[in-house]
Amino acid sequence: MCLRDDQRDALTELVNIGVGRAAASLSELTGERVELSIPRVFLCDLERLNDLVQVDGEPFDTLVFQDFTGGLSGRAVLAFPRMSGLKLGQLLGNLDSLPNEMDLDLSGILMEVGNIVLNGVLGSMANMTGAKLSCAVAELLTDQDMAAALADRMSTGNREGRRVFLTKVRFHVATRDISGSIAILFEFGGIESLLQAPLAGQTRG
Amino acid sequence: MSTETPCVTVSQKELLDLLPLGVCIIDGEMKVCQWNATLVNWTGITQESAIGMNLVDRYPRLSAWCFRDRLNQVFSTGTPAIFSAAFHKYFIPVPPRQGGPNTDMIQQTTVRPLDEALEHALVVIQDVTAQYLQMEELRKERFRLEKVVA
Repeated sequence: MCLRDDQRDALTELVNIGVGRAAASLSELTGERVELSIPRVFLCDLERLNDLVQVDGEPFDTLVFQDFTGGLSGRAVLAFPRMSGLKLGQLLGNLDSLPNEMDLDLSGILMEVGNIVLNGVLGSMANMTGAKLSCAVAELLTDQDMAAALADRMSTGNREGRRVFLTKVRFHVATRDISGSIAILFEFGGIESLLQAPLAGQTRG
Repeated sequence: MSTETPCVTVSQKELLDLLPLGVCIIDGEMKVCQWNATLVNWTGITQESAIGMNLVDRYPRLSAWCFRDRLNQVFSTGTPAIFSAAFHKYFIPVPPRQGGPNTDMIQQTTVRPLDEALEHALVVIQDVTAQYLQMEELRKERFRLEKVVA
């Protein structure tokens, strides 16, 4: 399944609305101007996910994930390379020095940031599809393979042919840019529901 | 011979009272519907006094945008909220229990919808003071050792 241009544009707008709200929340929370930008969204196979998100060979292995059920079901992940996660935690937490490990402070910061960002995106998706979502509390995983973390608790163990909704996200905080990725694995035809929703919206509009 | 494990019936209130976490249930207007024994112990507010109490009126700090807006989202969108110790220090103030007279309890709090109708939310407050005090000591020790090495 490939995204048509109109589907890609609609989904990009959906995610931008969600992360826009998240950026406003983060700005209020931290007292810093936080901007989030989403350049592009696309679909990929779960097996290719880790290769696609890597930057300069650095794996995205610091993950905040949030499961959701209801009208749409699946798992959403906000992921960073380890060093980027530490830098983001330092910037948003106003820490004096760059920490070299994911301690209690940083874990808490990233979990709350992930919770805010993923709530924004999932809330936007729920609005677009009219689905009611029930979300679990966000959890932090470190040193974890992104694709494995997505597929881990899904109902079918077979990872082949599983499509993932993927987008890069750029955090701009205090003149610094931190890059991350948001990936969402849907169950039970969730991708199809999501793709039909932009068309339905255009028809109604 | 039956091998069925007997089912233990515990009321919701009894279950909440057993938890070593501060737990309360609030409605969409932030009124307290349940207040567990741990919260009674921490705050000195009895369960009878707490039921019907408006949490934001009682703790005006929660009316700040960073709390109130996200609490409202729990009821409007059904998405849970995390209030980390790193950003907020605590959700509700609890007098010092460890670490010295000026050490308020440091808390990690989650708020999540309790029902599909989004009429109630479960607030779970975890005391992470000991871990934070330990982390602070480790940081001081690391700083001292780095100076020695340098």
